[in-house]
Amino acid sequence: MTEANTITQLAQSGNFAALVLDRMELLLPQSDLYGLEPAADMIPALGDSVSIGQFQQGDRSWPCYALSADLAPLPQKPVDCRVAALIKHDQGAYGVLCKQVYMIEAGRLELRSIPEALRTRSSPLLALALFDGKVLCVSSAKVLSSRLRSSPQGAALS
Amino acid sequence: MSKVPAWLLPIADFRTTAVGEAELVHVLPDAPMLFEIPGAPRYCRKTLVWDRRIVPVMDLAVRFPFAARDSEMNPENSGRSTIGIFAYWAETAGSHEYGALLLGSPPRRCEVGNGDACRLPADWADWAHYTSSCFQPEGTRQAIPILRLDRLFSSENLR
Repeated sequence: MTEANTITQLAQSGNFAALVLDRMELLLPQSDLYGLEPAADMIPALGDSVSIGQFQQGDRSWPCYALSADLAPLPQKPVDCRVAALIKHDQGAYGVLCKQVYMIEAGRLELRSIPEALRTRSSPLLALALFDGKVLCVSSAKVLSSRLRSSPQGAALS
Repeated sequence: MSKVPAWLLPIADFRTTAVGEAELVHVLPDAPMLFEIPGAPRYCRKTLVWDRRIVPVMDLAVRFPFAARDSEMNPENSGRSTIGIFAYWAETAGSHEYGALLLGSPPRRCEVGNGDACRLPADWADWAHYTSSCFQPEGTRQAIPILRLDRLFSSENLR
């Protein structure tokens, strides 16, 4: 997909959810979000030793991860994460612990291609965005899931 | 012999590079807000907002680690807070693009002529692809490479 097509598709995907993580803010199309849960409701992880906890909904449970500024899984829960964003996945959902989650109307974002010098083959990003004087990173549930799968610790998503 | 103006860019204590006069467009003396980009190359992980553009900020001291006598400097903690913003023609994009470099101190102006040309020294060999030529300012023995900004800021990490 060309960069212009990526930007066009993102612009048409509707509003975005901004996940405030450590040292960066990650934007996902709001349609990629399954829901939000208080971090305090997270229960211990089952055996897989990759996720740092899980959320129970009825008879289903969703693994939950904490991510570094490089979007790699962290081994433990950061102290200031109060909410989990549940993100849609082929087999249900998974959670990402955040300091904060807020919604942004698509029209308030200025989407930009990633500058060439910043691009790598394994980039977890689709674009960048200008919002309120800040640079935000744009990804999607699909790309983020792929990133988690390909990390050395990401086996739980496969 | 006629000379043309250029800007000297101190990268670290012992290394200086140069660009053409028109390529330097702005110097930010105070540390601006930088935004980290996941998955970006280690030497170019941050961006800043300038003129409603997202400009990548590159650390040449990290990209081309310095050897031997200047290795006692840890480039990532060297306290460099001057950032220069540069304009260059990007052939692939067919447009002017912008990139920023971390500098050890503010740029200084100089004049360069053909008679100042010299060979790129062996200890700058890693920079060869990213420089167009090299010169030695009159009265000095310091070799200063002239940067190819289009190559420095290209997407070679996709190759």
